[in-house]
Amino acid sequence: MTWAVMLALFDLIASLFLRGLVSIPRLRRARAMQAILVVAIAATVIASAHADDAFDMKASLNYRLAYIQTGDPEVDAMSKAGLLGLTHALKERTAVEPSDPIGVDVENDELAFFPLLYWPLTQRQPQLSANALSKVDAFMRNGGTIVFDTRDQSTALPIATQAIERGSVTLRRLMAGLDIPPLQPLTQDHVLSRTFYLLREYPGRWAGGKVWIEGRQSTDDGGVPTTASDEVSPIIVGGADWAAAWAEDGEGRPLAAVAPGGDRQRELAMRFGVNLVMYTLTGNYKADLVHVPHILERLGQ
Amino acid sequence: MALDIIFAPHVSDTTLLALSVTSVAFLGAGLLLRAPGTIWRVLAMAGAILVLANPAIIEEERKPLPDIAVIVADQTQSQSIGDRSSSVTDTVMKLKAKLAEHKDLEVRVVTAAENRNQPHDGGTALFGPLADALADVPVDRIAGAILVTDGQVHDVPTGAGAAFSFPIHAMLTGQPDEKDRKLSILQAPRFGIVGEPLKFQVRVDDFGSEAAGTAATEIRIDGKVARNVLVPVGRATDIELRLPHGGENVIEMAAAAGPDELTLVNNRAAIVATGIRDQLKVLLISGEPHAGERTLRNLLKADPSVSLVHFTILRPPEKQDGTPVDELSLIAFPTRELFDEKLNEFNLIIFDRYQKRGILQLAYYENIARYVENGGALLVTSGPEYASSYSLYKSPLASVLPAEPVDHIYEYGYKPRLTTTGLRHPVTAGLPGANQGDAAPTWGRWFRLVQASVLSGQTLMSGPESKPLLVLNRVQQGRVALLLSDHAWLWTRGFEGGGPQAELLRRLAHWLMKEPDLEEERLHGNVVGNRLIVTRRTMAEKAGSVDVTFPSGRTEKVTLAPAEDGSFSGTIKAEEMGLYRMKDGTLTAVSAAGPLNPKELSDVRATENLLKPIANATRGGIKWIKRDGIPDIRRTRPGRNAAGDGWLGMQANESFAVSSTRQTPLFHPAIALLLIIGGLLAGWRREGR
Repeated sequence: MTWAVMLALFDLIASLFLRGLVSIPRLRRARAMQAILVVAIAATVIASAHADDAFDMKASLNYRLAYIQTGDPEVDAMSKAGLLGLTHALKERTAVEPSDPIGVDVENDELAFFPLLYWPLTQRQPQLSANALSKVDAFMRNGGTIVFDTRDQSTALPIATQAIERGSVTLRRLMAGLDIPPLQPLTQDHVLSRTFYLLREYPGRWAGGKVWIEGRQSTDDGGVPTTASDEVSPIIVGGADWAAAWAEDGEGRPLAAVAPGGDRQRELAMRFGVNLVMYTLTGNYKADLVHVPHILERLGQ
Repeated sequence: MALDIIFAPHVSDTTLLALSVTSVAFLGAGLLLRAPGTIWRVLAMAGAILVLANPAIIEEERKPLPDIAVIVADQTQSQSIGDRSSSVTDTVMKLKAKLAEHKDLEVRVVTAAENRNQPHDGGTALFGPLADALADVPVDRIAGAILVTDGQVHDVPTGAGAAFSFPIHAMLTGQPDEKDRKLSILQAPRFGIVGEPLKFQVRVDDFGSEAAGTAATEIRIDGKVARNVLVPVGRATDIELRLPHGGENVIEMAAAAGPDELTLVNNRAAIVATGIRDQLKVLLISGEPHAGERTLRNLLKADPSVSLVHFTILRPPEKQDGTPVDELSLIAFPTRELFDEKLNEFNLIIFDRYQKRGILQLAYYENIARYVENGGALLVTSGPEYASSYSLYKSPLASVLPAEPVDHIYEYGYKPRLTTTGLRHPVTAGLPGANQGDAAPTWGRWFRLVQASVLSGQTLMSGPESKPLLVLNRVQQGRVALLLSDHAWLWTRGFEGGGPQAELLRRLAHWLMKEPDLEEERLHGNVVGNRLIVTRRTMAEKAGSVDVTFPSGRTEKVTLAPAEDGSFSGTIKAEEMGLYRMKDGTLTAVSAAGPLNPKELSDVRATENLLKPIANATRGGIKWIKRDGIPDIRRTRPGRNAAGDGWLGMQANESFAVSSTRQTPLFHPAIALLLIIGGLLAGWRREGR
């Protein structure tokens, strides 16, 4: 874009300069030069427009799972592999058919495309800029959900809540100044526990921990309906290191061992991932579905 | 020239009184006790008190003043009946001439007409204008008032307010034994559920004749005859009606002319009843969970008038795995119930990114097509699947879809634009952020458009290369809308500032469900205060003028000018109460002005009964113009009869104005000084002996 502007400026100066000279051959040369400039400007504009839109198009044209890039190559690789594993599971089992996962730079990328952002926390994650914070805030207010994974449940076993305490140090540091709703443990009654599978536990690489989700879960609190009136929690916090449990290599083999272990734990972790995606895509659809037979019955009476 | 003696005391009356009483008491005691010198003290005290009391002579120069006579001309709506209006004008002119014969009378004429800006239904008010006309006149200069009216006066004062010091006369237009039929609406609900019976209560009265028989009454809704009812005269009668549509329904009731009619204006009455739809039932079918599903779902759920039945295909049939059913939270899609048994119960069906997956039988698509043709509403918001081989267009539903996919999808950023049609169409006109004239839209971009060729209908929005984006169509009785992009949700999620997805969807849904407010061709009148605002919405380039028929029957043309939202509007003065009919060649509209049963028109027969008490109380007279002619005017003394055979009296108050006054103190201070000092000195001298 800068180039385009500079060229335009140059064109302006040139045309001003040239307009003073009346000799015909020179004028012709000027015309030719202007034509070249016009083409050059147009090309630059188109090129830059395409460059700007590449991320937006990649993110909006196909549904993709998305993770926040932490800057730690190991963590980011695990996030990517984890979401890829979950993507495969979704394609295999559900009507959701995501394209390959996408890493999101919270400072520079547009967040509005993603219903769900997976955000592993590392202690080295740099502080967010004011701009990024306001983007995260808008994201949550417009109905987006961020899953914060502190990944440190193992270090704090057996007292899981303490892990949340510890992980939340990073969380608090990053999210300072944002309006975070009060959280409460995720239970079986919550719609997230039945958006696709019926779930009683939500393990990842680690099992037995708690998942924290926004407390408000009523359907008629009399509040003003907003665009996010389905009360999907803008924030979900846990420490089970889900990405590691979902992660698989090119041949579909798991990348990390789960603890205490077993195929069942890995399967349940995957089911939690599926439910998570369904929750952020369909909101309280499943909660409402219990009323549908009643509504249908009343129809035509 | 008049002389008068007044006291102008230098101290307050009570002080003066207290001083006098005390002095008299002590001086009296002194005299009784024969105290020496008391007589001198009396002189001294008398002097002192006289000084304080300050008597003075007033001389006045007087000039006689003319008395004021007022004529109140009743030109309210009931006076427009027959020749009443001209009779009033004529009578006022003649009375003025008669009054002018008396040089000591000043004549004022006030005209009383309706003031429709008044919040209440006052009927004919004559005493208000009378009081206003006399506001600057002292009571002792008013000679009398003559009301020229039909006698239906609704602000006749009673009790203390009726204490007039001057005669009030009435000259009545019309005949003493008139007859008139009147229809009044006793009970009228302002709101009603569309299609449900709604109870109204009406009554037809034949004033001046025996109550008997029935009156044929025609009931029209929005100008179309809805029912004909025989209403028994003189009895409240219930009538049941069903509102045909949501929004404003103008209901007119008109009783046929009675045996003797003064006017047909009060045989008609009109009410506006707002139709409310009982819970709009919307069926939303999402073909798969996708990023825009929640925005669409939440927008529908946020509308309190919508009851939403939503199904999402979470798992297509081909992806069944071995997971035990009790670990799954999935239910079967009740297709037969939805698309066969209960299909016609839905007011709107939305297919959101739906593709054929072998879930719906062909017969169900045929059912939906038939449902649309029979008056149903269908919205399809499509994504890339619309261009695929699983497209809804490859199903029997195609027969009602307005655009055919051409196997090409645009995938780059563009701002949706309103087309020339879209700028006028009520569904899209004035959407915030839309392009206006040469100005580009300010809302956020979308990234996908499924190219399709429009088969029929109107294209309201367009995408890249002006390809159709939003297409609306009417299919027999029903309506269909097709959105050829799945990116509307980017607006709700606030990408690049977002856009009005909610408003667009709301209007789309209501247009599909035939809300009259969103009709493309619409003529509508609205009475605000004493003005009628005529609005014409049209898809045409311009709108012609509209003929407005007033309640009294006269017509006027209103020219319409373009308004900001793409419609045309014009304003006209509407001071009459009753029904205004608008017509512009193709469309008609009705609007009602004034209260339900305006007092002004409740009884329009000329009468002397209402004014008789006040005329009697003020010794005034009542004359019928047609029978008694124009009376002579005489000057009468206050308190005497002010009316007689062939004449009306104007009280002679003999008021005067004082042109100058002179005040001379009677008691010169020097004399007082002499009296006081002399009296005291003499007193002391006598007492000192």
